[in-house]
Amino acid sequence: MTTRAIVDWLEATVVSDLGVTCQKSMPAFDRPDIAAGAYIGWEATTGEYGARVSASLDKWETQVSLLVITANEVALLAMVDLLEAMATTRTEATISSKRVRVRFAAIQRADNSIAVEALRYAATTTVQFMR
Amino acid sequence: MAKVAPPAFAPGNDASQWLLFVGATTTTPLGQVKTFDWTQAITSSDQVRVGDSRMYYTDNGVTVTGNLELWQGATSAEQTAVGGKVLTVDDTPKVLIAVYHSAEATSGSAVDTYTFTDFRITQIGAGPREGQSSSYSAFAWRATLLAAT
Repeated sequence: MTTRAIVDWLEATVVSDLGVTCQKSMPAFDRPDIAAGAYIGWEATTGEYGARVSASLDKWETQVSLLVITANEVALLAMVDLLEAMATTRTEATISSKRVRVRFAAIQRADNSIAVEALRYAATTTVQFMR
Repeated sequence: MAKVAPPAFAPGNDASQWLLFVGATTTTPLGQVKTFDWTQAITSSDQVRVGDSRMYYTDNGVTVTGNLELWQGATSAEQTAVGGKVLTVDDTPKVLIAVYHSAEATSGSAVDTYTFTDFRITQIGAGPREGQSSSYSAFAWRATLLAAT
C-alpha cells in the first residue's frame, strides 16, 4: 500500500518537524470542537505517461493536502516558519524501500469561507510525492 | 517473439544530485551554479583510398569542452575560484570535479566522479544584462583530460 505508506511517512514527519498531533483525515468542519493540530487528506494520484521508451506508464505523483490548525495568529506565524523548514529539509524520502521526491506547494492561510471558529488560524499546503 | 517487460523505472534524477568542486572534493562545493555541461569528443583524421568506399579513421585525441553559468553572489568568490572573473593569457588552469550522487539529500553517496584536469575558462559572458534580472556569468571552458571514476 504505497499511498498508505506515503501518508504514514507524512504523518510521522509532521509530528517530528512541527511538534503537533497529526491525524489521517480532515476534521468535520461543521462541528465546533476542532482540535489544534495537523490533518492529512489524500487529494490526487496522477500517472505520467511516456517518460521512456519501452514502457508507457512509469511514474506516479501523489498529492496530499496538509492542514495545520493553531490556537492564535502568533502560533500560526511560528507554524509557517516550521512548515518552511520542513519543506527545505524534506526534499526526498525512502518510502516502501523506494526513493520518493517530496515537493511542497505554496503554504497558504486555510480557506475559511464558512467562518468556522477553529479555522481562524490555520495554514494549508499540498505535498507532492513523485515516485 | 513476445515482448518482454522492461525493468522497473528508476525515477528521480536531477541536477540537485550533483556537486561541483574546484581543486578537490574536500573543498566547499560551488553553490551558485546555474548550468554546467560538457562535451567530450574524439578528434580523428580520415583516409580514403581508390577502389574502396569505406572511410578509414585514425583517432588523434579527445577534447573536452563545455559551458558553465554561475549566478552572481554577494561576492564574486566563485567566479574567481573557477578562473572566470578576468581572463589573462596563460592563467593557471584549475581542476574541476563534478560528482553525481545517488540522492539529492545528504544521505546520498557519490556514484560517479568526473575530474576535469587543466580546466580553463576560454570565454566569459557577464554583466548586469537588464533591469530587474538576476545577474549571472556564462563561461565557455575547456579541459585537457576528463577522468571518470
